[in-house]
Amino acid sequence: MEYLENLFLFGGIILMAFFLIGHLSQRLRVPSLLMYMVLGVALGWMVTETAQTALGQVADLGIVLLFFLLGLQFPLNRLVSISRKIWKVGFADIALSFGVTAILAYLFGFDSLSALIVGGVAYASSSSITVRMLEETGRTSTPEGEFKLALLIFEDIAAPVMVSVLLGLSIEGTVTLSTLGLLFLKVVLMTGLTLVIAFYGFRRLDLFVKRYSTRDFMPLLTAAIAFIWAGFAVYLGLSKLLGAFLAGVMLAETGASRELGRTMVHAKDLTLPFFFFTFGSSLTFGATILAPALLIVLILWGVVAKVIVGLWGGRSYGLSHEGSLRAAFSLVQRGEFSVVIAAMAETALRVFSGVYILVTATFGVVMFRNAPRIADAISRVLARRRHARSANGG
Amino acid sequence: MQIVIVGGGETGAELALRLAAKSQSVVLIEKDPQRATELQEQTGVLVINGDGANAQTLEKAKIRSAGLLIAVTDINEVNIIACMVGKNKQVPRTVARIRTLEDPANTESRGLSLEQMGIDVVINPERAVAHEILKMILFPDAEEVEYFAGNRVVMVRVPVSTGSELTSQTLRALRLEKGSIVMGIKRANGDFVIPGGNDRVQAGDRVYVIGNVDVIRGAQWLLPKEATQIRRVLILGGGVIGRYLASLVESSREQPFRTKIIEKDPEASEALNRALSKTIVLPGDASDRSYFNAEEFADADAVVAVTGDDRTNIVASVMAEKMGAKKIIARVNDMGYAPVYSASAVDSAVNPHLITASQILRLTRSEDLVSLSLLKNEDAEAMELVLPPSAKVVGKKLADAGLPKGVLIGMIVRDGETTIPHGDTVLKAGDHLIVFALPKLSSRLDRVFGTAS
Repeated sequence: MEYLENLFLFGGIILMAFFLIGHLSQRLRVPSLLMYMVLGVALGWMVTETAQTALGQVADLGIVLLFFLLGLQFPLNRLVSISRKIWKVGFADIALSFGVTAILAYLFGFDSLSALIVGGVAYASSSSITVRMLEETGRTSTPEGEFKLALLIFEDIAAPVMVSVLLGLSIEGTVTLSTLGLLFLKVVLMTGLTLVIAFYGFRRLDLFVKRYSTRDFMPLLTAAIAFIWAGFAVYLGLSKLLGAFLAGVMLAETGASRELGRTMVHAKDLTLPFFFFTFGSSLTFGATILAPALLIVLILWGVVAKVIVGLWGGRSYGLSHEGSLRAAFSLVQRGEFSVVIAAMAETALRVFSGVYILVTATFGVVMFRNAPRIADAISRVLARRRHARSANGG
Repeated sequence: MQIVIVGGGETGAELALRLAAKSQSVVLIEKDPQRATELQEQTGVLVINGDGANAQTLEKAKIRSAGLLIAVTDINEVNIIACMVGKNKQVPRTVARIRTLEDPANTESRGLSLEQMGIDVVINPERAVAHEILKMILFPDAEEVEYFAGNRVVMVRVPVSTGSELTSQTLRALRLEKGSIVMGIKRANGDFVIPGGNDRVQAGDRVYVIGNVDVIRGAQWLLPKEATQIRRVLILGGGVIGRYLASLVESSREQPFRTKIIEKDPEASEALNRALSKTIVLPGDASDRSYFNAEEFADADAVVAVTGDDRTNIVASVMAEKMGAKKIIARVNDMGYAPVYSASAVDSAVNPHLITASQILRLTRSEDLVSLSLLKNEDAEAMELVLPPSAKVVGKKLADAGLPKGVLIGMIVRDGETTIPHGDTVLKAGDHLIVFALPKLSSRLDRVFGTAS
């Protein structure tokens, strides 16, 4: 109750803290989201359950807007062609990140459900961290940025399926084929509906949107569509991020992405720090960690698996050698889906997962930042070696 | 034939020169007085200074007696009006150059049909250039490529190296792959031969081989070295040509490519992203430096530089060559740069004006001609023509048809089937003949095949 009574005071203090942290991160040249996360981890003990819920709701706004704005950058036909190219990489990602991790955990003595949950935690790269990092480093519109987004979208479709499967397993101990089928049906329905509305609705609204894009009521329309579609996805039991993204795709068909994006960008900037903060504060830590040896092995494998997916997948997607190297080193960070899946586990495993997520997220962000430099260095070494070999051969 | 050309730009001038060389009676209409005087001196044809969309100017150019009106000004609307007026004055054939992004023959977007606009043939230089470049990508080892019979038959020119299978025997004894035939030999000393069965190909020659597309594409025996494999295509410049080309390459059914396009203008990149589905678009930072992308050059098999700026194209080509691109194609707008291109790394330079001119030149021949292409240095003409029922060779065996020496029927397309004819093959009305001939014989061809109008 006291939070609500002193809403402005609390809210203002939090915003001021975010501002200071954001500014500091700029001075220290550290990605701001990492600082928000660390702040969340540090202050996690202070956040009560009610506060966590309230903060979580603001955080949800932020993440939905982030994905909505992302969707605005993807015209429909682009999305269709991307999905045609990404599915192979997507399945390889499931096999390596989820499959191999689960097998490793099983071999280390975890029971099969725990092993599957650990696999789920290790599966998805964090969409929010990746998208935010792409924004921060200005790499969103590069081909490798597109590849990463494509993979994230695939994961965002696959992860809810995974969540519901694991949920079914952990609660009832079984997953029926019909539940799975229903879930797929919903994904198809949602996407199909988006296509239809985009083609027959928004494509014809281009003049309307252009005419009123600067009026004060336009942000209402934009936000309404983003929230309705995200909410509809949640209603269907799918990811809200997927819904928000698809809402952006629909509105992109009006051809006024830039103008519409401008109406929402401040709202996103205000709310997104909450997401990373609550992400940090929701991680569970404890004094003892289950199977530390396995944890180290899994973290290492978590890095290697994503590097493989990025390298091979990037090449098969059509990226240059260096582009796929950059992609390979930008996928390590795990995030929100891992948290959701970790929440299903019992306490000891939750601590295990919390450490896993925090380490990969931190390490992933650092690697993401330095990916261009790493890629450059590797390709220079390779070029030199090739040169030496051809000189020897000749 | 009296030919009226509206517009004395590079294409108009080139056309005037080439047509005059073929002793056609050409009148050129040019709006700019100074340019008109220059053209008069340069081309030697009659140049009228005036507005080509004006009926009086066209009357002055004797439009009523013209057999062909070619409108190639830089302004689409002028070209369209010139054709409308021309058609109104009973010109049998009108050609307009129309530069648009959409297909000019697609009348829906225009609201008027070509017929209503009085246009018989639309030439879209950007489209033509893109098609030309696509051929070079599909046949990277060929020095020249021409399609016939609705793209089912292709003719390529390739150099012959020492030890090539082609040099081993006389053409008659040579066992070429089924469905292909040597149609012409360009000797090392520059002579051009339409070969007979007893001729031999020698190392250093360049041969013109024609055949079904599949046969020629897989023809390792044709090549002096390992066939160049092109999988990754990098296009520089997302202007009209770049965009056409990207969509052509995307939809190429003959071979799947991975295409990337670099466009310096971020907004144009966004439009490209909307228009293209499989191509990866790399948006630049609005400066020309965006095109000099070493990383992407190193990754590309073929680099196609089609920005609007010749110098950018040249620099990018040199860079691409250094980075190991296997095939480099560049657009050259100003022919003044041609020597720079031939001295540099560019494998093939394409000039929109020349391509437009050669497309239009085909139209100066009779209507039974489906296509006509002039080979490099105008050594010979390769053409596809439909045999009219009135032709005197109809019903005769090829051996008895009395073809002059220097003319070769390489292929016959009958009911959709392609065959290589021999002496006993009987010619039928409606046959599509793919004929190779020395240029001096072209007037006699009209008599033989009844294509004289």
